[in-house]
Amino acid sequence: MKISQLRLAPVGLLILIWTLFPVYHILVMALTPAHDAVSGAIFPKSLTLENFRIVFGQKHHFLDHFWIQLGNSLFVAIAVSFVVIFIASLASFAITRLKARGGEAVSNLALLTYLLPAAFFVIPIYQTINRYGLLDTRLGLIATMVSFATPYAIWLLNQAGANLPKELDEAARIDGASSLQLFWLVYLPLLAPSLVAVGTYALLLSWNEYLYALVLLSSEDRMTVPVGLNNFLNSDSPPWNLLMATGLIYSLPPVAIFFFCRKFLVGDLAEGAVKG
Amino acid sequence: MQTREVIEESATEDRHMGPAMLVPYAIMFVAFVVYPVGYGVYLASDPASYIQLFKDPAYLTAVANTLLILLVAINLKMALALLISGFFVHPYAWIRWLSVVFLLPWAIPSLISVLSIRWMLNAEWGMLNNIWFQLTKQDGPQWLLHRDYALMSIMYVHIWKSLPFWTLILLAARLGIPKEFYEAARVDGANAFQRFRHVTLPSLWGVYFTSTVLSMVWNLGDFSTVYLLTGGGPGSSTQVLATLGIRYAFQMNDIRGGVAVVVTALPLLIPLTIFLMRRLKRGGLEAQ
Amino acid sequence: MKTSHLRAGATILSHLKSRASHTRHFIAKSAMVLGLVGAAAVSLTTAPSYAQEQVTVWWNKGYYQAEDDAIRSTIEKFQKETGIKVNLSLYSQEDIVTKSIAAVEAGDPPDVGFGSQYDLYAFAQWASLGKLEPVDAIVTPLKDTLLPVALEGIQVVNTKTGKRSFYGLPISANMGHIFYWRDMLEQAGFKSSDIPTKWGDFWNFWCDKVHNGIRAKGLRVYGVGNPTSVTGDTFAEFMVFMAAYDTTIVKPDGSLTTSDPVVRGKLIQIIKEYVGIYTSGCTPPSSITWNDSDNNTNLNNRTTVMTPNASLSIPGSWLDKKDDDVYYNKLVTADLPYGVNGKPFANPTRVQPAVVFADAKNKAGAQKFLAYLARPENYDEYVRASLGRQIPVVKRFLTDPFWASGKDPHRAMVAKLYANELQPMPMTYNYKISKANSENVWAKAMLRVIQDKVSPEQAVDEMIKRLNEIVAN
Repeated sequence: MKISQLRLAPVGLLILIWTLFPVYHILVMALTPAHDAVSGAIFPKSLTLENFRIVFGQKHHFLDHFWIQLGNSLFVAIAVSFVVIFIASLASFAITRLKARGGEAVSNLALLTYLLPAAFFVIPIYQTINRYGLLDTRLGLIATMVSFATPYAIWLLNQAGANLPKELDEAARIDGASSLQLFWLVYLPLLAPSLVAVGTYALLLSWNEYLYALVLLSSEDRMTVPVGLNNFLNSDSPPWNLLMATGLIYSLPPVAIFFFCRKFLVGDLAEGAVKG
Repeated sequence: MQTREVIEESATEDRHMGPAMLVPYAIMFVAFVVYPVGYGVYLASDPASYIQLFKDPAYLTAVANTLLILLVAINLKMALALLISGFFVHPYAWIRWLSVVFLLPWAIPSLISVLSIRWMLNAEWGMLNNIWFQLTKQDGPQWLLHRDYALMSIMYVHIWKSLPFWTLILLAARLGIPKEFYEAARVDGANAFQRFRHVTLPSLWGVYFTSTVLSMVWNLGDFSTVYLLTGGGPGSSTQVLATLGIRYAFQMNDIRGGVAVVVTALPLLIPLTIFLMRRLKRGGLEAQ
Repeated sequence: MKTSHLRAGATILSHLKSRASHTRHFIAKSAMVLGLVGAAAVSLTTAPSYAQEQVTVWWNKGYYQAEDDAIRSTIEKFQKETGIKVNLSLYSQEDIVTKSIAAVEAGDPPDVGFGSQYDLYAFAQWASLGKLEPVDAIVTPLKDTLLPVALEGIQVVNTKTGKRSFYGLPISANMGHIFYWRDMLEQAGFKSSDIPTKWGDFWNFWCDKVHNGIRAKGLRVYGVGNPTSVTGDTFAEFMVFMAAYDTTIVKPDGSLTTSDPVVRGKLIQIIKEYVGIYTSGCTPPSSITWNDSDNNTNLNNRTTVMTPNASLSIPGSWLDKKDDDVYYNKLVTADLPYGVNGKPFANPTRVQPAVVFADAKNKAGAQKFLAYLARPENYDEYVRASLGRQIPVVKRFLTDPFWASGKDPHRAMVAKLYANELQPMPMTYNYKISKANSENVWAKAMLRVIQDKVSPEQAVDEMIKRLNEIVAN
């Protein structure tokens, strides 16, 4: 089993280059002045933080609404995350602990909707959101993202919920706990790590969403950052350096979450995805 | 008995409480899944849109591209993930750190990484061809300008982006293989390849297979990679079903045509989904 | 037995409760923090609402800052004068078409819309199918002040009522011309006066002499930036080629000319020549994947010496950057050469209208807004403030010193272009051509030759077949 580390090193180096080359490219573009950003030079002639100053100061035509858009992204992601936790924890409690009638059907539907590709629904969902009068509102995007994130959340919480020993419920019942107390005092606390996991999942899903945000949101002061970034390309001199600087800033929260939460992301989220 | 009574009493309450707790989900499901799907079915019911679709050469191209990406990119990616998971299984500190870096493509929002790669692959001014030029003194391949290269580029981006995820899945599965299996194989005098062939592969097969199918289902709906990298171009030579449907609906003013594109993917999507549902519901993959 | 059972239960429960209270504390705290952040985000982003009359306006987001400032200042003055609140949304050139088409389809359009590519993909179709509100009341009084080609471009027959009306307020027009770098042309060994006026010679000059001349200086630069992709620019350029070959795709009565063997023969020649520019390598290989802005980008980055164009967006962006050296000395706007027959040809002219949607909530308010914008002082100020990206459609600008004084070389050239003969785009005569534009049958035919190596004859036959299908539907 002990292959020498020396033999592993070249493989590691290959993996490192493969992974980092495009990341390096983002960095180079984000850190160089406008003209050098598109020169394709491997080692930029000059580096600058000016781009970030422009982004933070909203000092460009395409960045007029940067902070508002960042706020929108954050608001949508957090709202989706909370609503998903709310709906999914109730549903999974009803299914796994109360054995509610129809629970089996709900699990199956959840699994089915989880598997179907979201992009396939964009046309009818666009029409639906429009019927509800929610086009170009954050609420419309939130509702849509909730409906995409909930199935997986239920699926994951069902796994975790089913693993809790039955004796806990019985003991609590004997102490006179009602279903709601059981939910609030036993189920939620014990499931806290899984709740954080599904909350993070929903948060990342919404933060990174591009297609639905693009289709549903249109006003500059209501769009999320990815939609705002999309507008950059519609210019006769697209500011690639600013695009990448903004993108880099926008990537930091998910990267940080991945870094600090990698243990449970790998454990719960990734495995849960296929393990079912 | 008192205990039994208490439990039964609460069971009566549960008959109401249980369904009540499913209500939020049900509301969401009806409003944002049932209604749109119903509406989609209504939009999809016009035979004329299919006739028009089958006449459109871009549609046939999109079907071919979708299948090609599904078969080549996904299998290549899963094979790579299998191999690389064998690297990350080694318990050294530097490998653990490398695994953190390895997650970056998965963590960066695809809009940013794909747009960056699009410029990186620019035939005239991109960094890649700049390096190519400096090394060979010749212009590099026209990455996004020829269908073959452009499809390769799409596959490359797809693999780069989702390799970490699937590697982790397979890594977790590998770590679940009991050490004794390897010990026993070693005692029998198996070399590294034989251990891989007779221990690792059979143990991982279930996860590997399910992952492949799941990745295919997800990839059917991958809009962003293609849209952001090539926009389906040049011409419509790299359109896939997910991008073509949206192009029909939102750029060509043909909502029904757009829904029709998606509907024609169902004969492929439904069996894969049913297969996955059965497989996932049976529970742990390791058992298979 | 029973009591021990109970006690065990109580112990578990109390244990859980203490754990729960910890966790709940944690969750409550995080919720509070997140809630505060969320609330801050909401308060930042929620627009105040007024109980006053409102007009929703979707406007094309500019390529550069001055364009956006121009429409914002017009709106500000309109609000002050009328007390009507305008909700302005700026969408990028491509998005505004997509969004508007989807919104019209869904029955929920804004009140006023102006997309600089409405005319290519949607305007005539909307008007023909009754999706737009006629604005004769605004345009008819202006008739004498507007250029004939502008009036022609906004006049459409509603296929339901059979009535011909004005369906938009023309804001700007685009017609073919070229931009080039004077200094790069000199670097390649030529002067502006060397540019030929004969059609064939003209393209040879840029594609062969200038391209090779600048390459001989060791620069990785292309002689021409010729859009050859599925975009509006390619359509416009293709129409210029058709005009130069003295042919059209649609007759004024709306019928197609495609059954005419002469037209077919000319289309084949056009495809050969247009594709030849690409295959000879004097335009960047990525021309076949360009977006509408990319030929501008390439010229601005000085990676091409010349590019055909139809608006003044390129000089406008340099003026916006206050780069006088480029604007006055280096960058040149020039006329197209004569046609294939050696005579001047009627320049195909796009007319870009602002429209009122038939399903709009406040049509009266929308009309008020357009009427306000149409007033000479407001219109002229808007056009000036957007630094000339929008080429105006009013006769008075031909004598307006802002355009015609000759101090500004680019604007002077536009005034000269207007003196040439102009012709409307084919969508004006048959709205179904918008669909051909959405599919971009023109670029597709060329890409068939470039990518799939089919013969130009076959590509043209396929194109004609598709055009016939589109128009028959």
